[in-house]
Amino acid sequence: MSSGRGASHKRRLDMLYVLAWLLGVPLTLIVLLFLIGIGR
Amino acid sequence: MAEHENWRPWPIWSAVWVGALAALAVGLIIGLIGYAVGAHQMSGPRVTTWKNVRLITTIFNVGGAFFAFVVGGWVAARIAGFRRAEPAMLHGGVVWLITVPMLMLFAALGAAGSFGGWYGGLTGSPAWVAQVPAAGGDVAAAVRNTALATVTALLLGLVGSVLGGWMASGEPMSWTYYRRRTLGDVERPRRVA
Repeated sequence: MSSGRGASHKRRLDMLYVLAWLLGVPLTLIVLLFLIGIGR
Repeated sequence: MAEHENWRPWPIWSAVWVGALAALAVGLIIGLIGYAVGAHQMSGPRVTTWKNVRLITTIFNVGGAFFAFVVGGWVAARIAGFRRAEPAMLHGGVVWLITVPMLMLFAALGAAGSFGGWYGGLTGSPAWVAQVPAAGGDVAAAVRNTALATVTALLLGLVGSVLGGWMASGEPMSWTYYRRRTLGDVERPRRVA
């Protein structure tokens, strides 16, 4: 594994992917269900 | 796990069981917190239309179903010690498979309500209860919506457990990484979570 600024940047990017998945999936569904609730 | 010297009998059941228990525990905790803050209603009106479902109820049900299984899949893959995404995700899926019959058993015993309001579709009329539910338009709508909510909760759990396993493998959760991974020059998977 390389070290230095590039590695830390990559790690931050990987963390961002984790957060995007963990927050994106439930939030998308909540918004979708909310819109369905408004629509009906 | 292409390396044959590392091969282990598969799936690793102890990890899967602990993951399933972790998923149930976290689901129970989030469900009970939902009751504590008034997000769920123990004996509220049945869901005949989505319009009556409050936002906080949706948040707690979605969050509970999702994050409980994220934890379950993560625990299973970490205990098994996978460094590759694929077996880790498959173990997450196996965690979900284990919990589904357990949830059905809880539902039959009347305990599935503690996990939130969306597992009601798992509940049938137990064979030892001589009770015929009244039929009617409202009941049909409620049954339909309950089934829909249960399907949503279960599938969300599957998504969560697979994502939890993926996260635990430590490989980057981006699709582009997997195109380059087999080229040979890729560094060891990084542990991000």
